[in-house]
Amino acid sequence: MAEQDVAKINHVKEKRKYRPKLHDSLTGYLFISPFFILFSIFGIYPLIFTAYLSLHKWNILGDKEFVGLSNYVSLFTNDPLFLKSVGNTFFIWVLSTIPQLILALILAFLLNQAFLKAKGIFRLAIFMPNITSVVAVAIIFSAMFGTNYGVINYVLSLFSIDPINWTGSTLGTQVAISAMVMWRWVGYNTIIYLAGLQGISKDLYEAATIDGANKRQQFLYITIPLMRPIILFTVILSTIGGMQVFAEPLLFGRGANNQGLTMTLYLYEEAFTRFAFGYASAIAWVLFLIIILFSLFNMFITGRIKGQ
Amino acid sequence: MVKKALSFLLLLGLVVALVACGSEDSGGSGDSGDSGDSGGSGDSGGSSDGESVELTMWVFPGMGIDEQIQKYQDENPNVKITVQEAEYADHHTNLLTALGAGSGAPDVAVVESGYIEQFKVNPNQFHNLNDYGAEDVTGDYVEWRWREASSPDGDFVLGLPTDVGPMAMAYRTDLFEDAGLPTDPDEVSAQLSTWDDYMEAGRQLYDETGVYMYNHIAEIFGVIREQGEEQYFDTDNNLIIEESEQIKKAWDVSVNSRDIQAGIERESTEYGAALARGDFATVFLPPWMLQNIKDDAPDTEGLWNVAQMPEASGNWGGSLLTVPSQSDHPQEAFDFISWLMAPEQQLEIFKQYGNFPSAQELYDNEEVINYNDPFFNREDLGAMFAEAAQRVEYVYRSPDTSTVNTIMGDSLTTIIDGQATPEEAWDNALAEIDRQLSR
Repeated sequence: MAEQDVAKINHVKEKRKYRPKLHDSLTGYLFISPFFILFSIFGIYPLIFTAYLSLHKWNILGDKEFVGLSNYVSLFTNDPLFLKSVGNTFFIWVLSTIPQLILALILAFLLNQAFLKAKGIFRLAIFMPNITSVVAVAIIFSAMFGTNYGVINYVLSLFSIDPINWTGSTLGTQVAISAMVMWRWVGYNTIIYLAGLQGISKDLYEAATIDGANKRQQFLYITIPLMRPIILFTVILSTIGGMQVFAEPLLFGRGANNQGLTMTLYLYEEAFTRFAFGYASAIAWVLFLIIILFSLFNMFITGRIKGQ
Repeated sequence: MVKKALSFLLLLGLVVALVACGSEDSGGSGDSGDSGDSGGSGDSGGSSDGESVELTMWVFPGMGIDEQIQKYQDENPNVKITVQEAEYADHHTNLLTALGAGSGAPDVAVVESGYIEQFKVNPNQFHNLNDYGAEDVTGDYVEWRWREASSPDGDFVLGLPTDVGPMAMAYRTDLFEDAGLPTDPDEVSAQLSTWDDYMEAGRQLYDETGVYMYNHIAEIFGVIREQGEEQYFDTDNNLIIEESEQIKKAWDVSVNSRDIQAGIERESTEYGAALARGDFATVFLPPWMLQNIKDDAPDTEGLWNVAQMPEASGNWGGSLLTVPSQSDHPQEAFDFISWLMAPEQQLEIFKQYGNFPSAQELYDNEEVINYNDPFFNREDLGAMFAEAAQRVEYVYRSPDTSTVNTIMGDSLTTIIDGQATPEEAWDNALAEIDRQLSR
């Protein structure tokens, strides 16, 4: 009798515990499944297949030839172009990110001022470059940075500066590419900073004004310290973006001396102009690891600052 | 539960639809589902028995074949042809990935001459057109282009030629006159019969008028390279760049004439402005590029003339129509493309769009011979290009030729950019070629 009861209770419990749970969880899994299905098809599968390809020599149309780690070995021992592309990528990243973030912070500060009228228009205007097609941007900038007929060299000539060979000199090409990246992303970062600024209490500024602090002092001693987490967020984002600069150098031209060759552009050229898909896959994986390294480094710094 | 199962199915359907959209994108524009369906409709067999067949065709802009395709469909009601167009580079990337993936390739694909070698070394990806009757039409086309389309022994034929791009030299008569150079095309060809003559004339032009002779150092290298019967590789794919006389000549002329080039690449945004302003006096071009001059520099109408190039002609551009082996209707596809590129249709395309025919019997045709354009001042423009087409020599190219071309062009550019001396540039080029080919 008791046993039966227990069994019955257990059965009911099981029923109660089990069936509704299947119901609930199935619905839940169904709701999140689109992401996982798409992510496995377009995220995980290519990742694994790229790793597999990187151990082969493959021109995409013929058979794959297994070559072990030799793609990676030659990448690091016998490929001056790859090392150059890593150096270029970092230089372009520094050249575009640092002025970009400083400028974005200043612009956000100005946009947040009480005296400014028609804020909406300014905010929209400053965000416009970010939603402009990168191809259009690159074509316009290529025209502006023309050596013979570019408007920038023309302006420089008004100050009696000799024309700069933008496509034919190392610094020229990298500055031009950085300028494009900067132009596109300043507005994006400005909007993020603006959101952060609006989270800072007005009381602090009022108190500082009463104490006689000027705008510059307010900016340096109130705004910047309170914005630190947001600044870090934008640094991480621009790092990841900066490692993957591609369309700008592709359309502007990497330069005959490969001074504008970035890592992703090198990857693309290996795959789609030289048909070395195995080698390009190896580059992709090294790029992946470099980005992971940088993200870890960023997280480490963030943690340190938060801990302070 | 039924409801749940239904919603799951719905979801699955959504995902599948999304994935299908994703793969459709790789096919460029076009109606959804066409590329997938074409294989399934109708069993393989014959077009002759009236069974309806749907053929997909991938092209890039500028083929000028729309009217002819319509005409073919009108004459063959059982054949439906779906054309999908994508930009030049996208088109070849799409084709490459569809072939690599093993599905999604069309029944007919255009392959531009720059990609021929890369596709030809993988013959299993394409139907051998000799199996479907290509041998019968061999004689219709210029020999050098046919050999480019075939394996060295001629057993395998990758595609049927569309247009060709025989090279000639357009020059500014007003600038030539100011410099005291001849302006009549025959006299120009006579006086500029070698590259040394050309350089001499260029210096005279520069000294008298301050105008450069041509646009960019890497361009003249390519032009002279294409004139040779031998380039970087021998027919066994050995690198012979250091022994090749044509390459040495192309390099030397390029380097020695760098004082009379403007340093403006054809792909750059400045090219049009320089052309319109008359910064350089000669342009090496195939017929399809005449239109570019008219677009870039409309105000120079009547100031141009066109003459044969020094020493020899060459080819720039043109395509093949291929049938990927994924196609289930190779015979129907071949029947279609052999009709489309038959001399009569090539003549129509030439008349409508100016794509220069590869069918050699047309080189004597009135329509081609009498083709001219007031923009270029020459009555017998068509006859001159027909003559240029017959001057082109077959050149063996390897799949690595375009890689080497890029390195050579870049190296020459570093000389005018002041980043290397000519000797350094040559050594750098050889080292880089060696490295890239040895991988």
